[in-house]
Amino acid sequence: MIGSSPPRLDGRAKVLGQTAFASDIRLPGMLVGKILRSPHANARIRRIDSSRAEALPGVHAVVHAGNVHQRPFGYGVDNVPLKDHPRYAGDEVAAVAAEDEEIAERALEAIEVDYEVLPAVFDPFQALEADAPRVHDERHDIEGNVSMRWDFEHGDLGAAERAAAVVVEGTYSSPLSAPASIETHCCSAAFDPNGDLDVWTGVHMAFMYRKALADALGLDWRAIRVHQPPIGGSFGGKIDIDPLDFITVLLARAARRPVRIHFTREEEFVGSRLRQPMHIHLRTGADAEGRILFRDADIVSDNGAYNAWGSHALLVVMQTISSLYRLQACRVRSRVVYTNKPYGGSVRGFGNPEATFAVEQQTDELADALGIDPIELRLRNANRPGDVTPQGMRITSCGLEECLRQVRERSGWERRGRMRERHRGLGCAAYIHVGGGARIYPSDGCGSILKMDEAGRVTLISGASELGQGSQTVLAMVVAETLGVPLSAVRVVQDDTELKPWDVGAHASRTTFVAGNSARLAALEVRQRLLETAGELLEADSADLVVEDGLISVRGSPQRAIAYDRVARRRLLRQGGSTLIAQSFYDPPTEPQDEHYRGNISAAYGFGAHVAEVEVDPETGLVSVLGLWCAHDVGRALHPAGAIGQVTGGAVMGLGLALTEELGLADGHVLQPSPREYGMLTALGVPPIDVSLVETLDPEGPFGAKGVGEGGLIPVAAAVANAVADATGIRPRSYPLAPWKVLEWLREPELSRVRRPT
Amino acid sequence: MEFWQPQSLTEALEIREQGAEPVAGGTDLMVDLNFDRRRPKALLDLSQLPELREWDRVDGWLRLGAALTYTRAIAELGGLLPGLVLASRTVGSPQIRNRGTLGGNLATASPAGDALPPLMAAGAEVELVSRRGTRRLPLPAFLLGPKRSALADDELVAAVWVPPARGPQQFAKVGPRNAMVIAVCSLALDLDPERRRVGCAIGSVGPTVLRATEAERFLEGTLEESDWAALPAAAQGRFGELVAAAARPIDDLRGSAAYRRHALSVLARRCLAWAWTDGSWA
Repeated sequence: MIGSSPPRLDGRAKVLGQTAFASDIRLPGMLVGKILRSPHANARIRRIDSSRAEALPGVHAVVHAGNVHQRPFGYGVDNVPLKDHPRYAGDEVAAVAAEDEEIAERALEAIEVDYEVLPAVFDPFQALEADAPRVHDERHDIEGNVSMRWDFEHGDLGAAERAAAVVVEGTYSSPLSAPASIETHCCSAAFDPNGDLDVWTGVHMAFMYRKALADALGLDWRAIRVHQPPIGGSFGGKIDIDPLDFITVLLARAARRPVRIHFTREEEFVGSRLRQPMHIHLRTGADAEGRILFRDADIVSDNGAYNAWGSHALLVVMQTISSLYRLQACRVRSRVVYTNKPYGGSVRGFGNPEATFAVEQQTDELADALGIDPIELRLRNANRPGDVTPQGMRITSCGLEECLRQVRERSGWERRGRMRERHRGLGCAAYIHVGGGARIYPSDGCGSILKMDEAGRVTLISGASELGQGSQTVLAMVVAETLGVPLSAVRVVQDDTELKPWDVGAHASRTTFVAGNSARLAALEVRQRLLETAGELLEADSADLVVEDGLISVRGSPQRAIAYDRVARRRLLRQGGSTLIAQSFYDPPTEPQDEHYRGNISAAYGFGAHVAEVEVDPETGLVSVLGLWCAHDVGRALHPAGAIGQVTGGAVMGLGLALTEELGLADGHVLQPSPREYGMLTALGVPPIDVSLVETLDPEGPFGAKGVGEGGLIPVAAAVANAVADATGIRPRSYPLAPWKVLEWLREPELSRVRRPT
Repeated sequence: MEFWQPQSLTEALEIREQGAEPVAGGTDLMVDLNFDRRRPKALLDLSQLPELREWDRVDGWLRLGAALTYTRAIAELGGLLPGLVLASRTVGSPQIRNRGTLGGNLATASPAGDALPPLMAAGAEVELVSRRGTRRLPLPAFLLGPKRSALADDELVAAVWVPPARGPQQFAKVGPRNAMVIAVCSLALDLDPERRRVGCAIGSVGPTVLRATEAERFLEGTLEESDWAALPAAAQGRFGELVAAAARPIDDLRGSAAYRRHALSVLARRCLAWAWTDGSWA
């Protein structure tokens, strides 16, 4: 079972269009909710008059900051669902619930809002200036617009710098980009006559969501049930609780009817969480043999109007700077800066693509300066099993070297540096990412309940959330493998907080590792009880029993056998019988980081390497990616097709970031809230992608597996940039690699010149 | 909103006279409706009119019905209008090419309309019809400004008339991804070696699709003087410069004005070189 690739349990329904997503849910009496958004990037509301809207026939509720009770929410506790002081163009100001979409639209138009428009700041470096408008003037606990700092130091930076034979330096910038999933956000809420609240939404951190919902709206969290219909893509965009969710509940409460808000495609770009731009100034030094000695980083994160999850992406940026490759000394200074713009969330990779773009280009810059092959230089510095990184991350299984060798061999790496006259080049980039959970909360655990009924049907109730990544199938495989029963007997329930045990949520590539271990523990317990009963029936010691494809037999005497479901029946349907059920809770053996950002936050780390081949049109600046070779240390591939799919999907998302995706703003307004103009790649823009899975059999992972949900995306932009450098000699300092930018660099190589200290 | 689906052109023109907004593939109109940029009182669906769907040869011209889709243009006009076929291949996705029509591209009159540069380069004329009668306008007289055309409130685009290619035709555009891309700039070139005539039109670099007339005259002059077998490199460069000079681009998200001019000169040189080496006519 493990290591094979059966069809996804949810695959057939999705292919046939029969899956009911959040937006397919209809409840009796359900109303349509719509949100009124601020047209101004920074404004105070002097007066809001909703009486005309309320008077429209078919309108059942109008809510705004003046008529609801709400408390601040979010990571920075700096946001409220409905604003009397909107801080970005698109901020939620009011909402209506009406009989249908058209009435709701008309009601929005009938709300009169008198804004006092205030000066706004859009550039993070301007926001750092002393006289810049303050985005959160009510926050007296911070200085100017710097809402958070993430500073880390390790080792003797001065000594490492003196020992360096070469130092490279540059600033690397990433754009505002969107997760842009096919399914737009949708939330439905309904109160029952007892005041219990049911919510249907695409969230994949359901328990934290429930708490946040209760806290901000003053509800009893014991009275909230969160349903998680299948998610049509999230990529981190649906991880957070959003104003959308609170507003849906506020409307349902005010209207005393179920309410559904379903984002339009345009709202999906304007009203949901994005990947915030980062500007990473980095210096890296190495000795003459190519040993990397130090890194020194100064980072500005252009966080937008509020501190949602995105403000914590610096944690991952810091991790890559300190822990990808061995180092002697490291310093990271980061500032999270408020600007009057759409704000950052937790998009796939969570700071790592941005950091890897800087770190891995500098690896190539060092290699070029020292005359060492870039992959050779990476091999010399690669993390190895047993390493403890400057932040105290304990590397256990580590296939980084093997990944580098794989992509070197498969890509025809010897062609590097020899194709410049054809404007072609090869570039490599590697990554490190958490692969065994990420302890960002007191528990990083996941609970499971496993039940086997009298028919032999096995139900896993898992805390884990399915967001399209394939957790349902992999968890069922873990259970089938552990119990020795056919996969067809296993079902997974994971979409309802009423039933499922606690789990922190689907993030940080943790589900296969944490939920997989949890499911395995529960299955082991059920297996043990099943074998106890089988031992009684077969008159054998349960330790002598083997299970294969649902048949339990005595080792060495295959004729003494009994079907597992008969055993289940015999255990249940007798005087004094009992349900075959077990529960487990797996919390990885990790520790939270201390105030100095030290601590082993993950029970395993994932590694990988990519090589990209590009062709640059020197006359138009157009960059074409001709091929991508990816090797990922997944510990063990439980479902190889699923793992390859994750890597491939991530790589395509990474290519979009590298080449085309950027959400343009003018005075804080999103200019192109449509997929066509935003520019995710379509199938025609995707080159051949070659994926190799490297299996290192992690000692802690379920059957040796580690997480790989984000890895495919992380090194793509860096590898493409390094390939462009090989093809042209220029050094890309920002992405996407839009043709007009590349052409400018080609004409003004000074803009991308490598600076070296004398 | 009223929705009319007439079964004949006569019926359609009556409804049009009442002020209904025509819709064929809907690839432009539906976007406007979704963004609430327009709220027409009535829609006039042209998809059921056989008169608009066909193409024919008339008096040495090709008369292409306004409701001809890009997909059909690609499948059926390959040998006759290679420039239009090249451009049609770059429109949207297969689904959009199945729905979108030449007439829609004309009526929208966007400077980024992909079919417009090859039609203009080939010297196309637009046939407009109303209850008052029929008139034919050369494309430059039809396209008045960004999304503005000479189409009167009671008129429909009936067809576009194009002379079949008498020599090589080329089309190229710059866009950052391979599919579903709105051109940063585009160029169509039409050479008639026998008559020494050159057509060159450029898209996304001005308020409408533009003709690069000076570049055309220059190249016609070069064709007169030079040996057909060899194209002087200097002439290529000059042609590129003159095409770029004809552009009136703006800065926007998809590229700066300076980038557009530059990229256009590159496209001009390349299209010219491709056309030249297209040996079928030389």
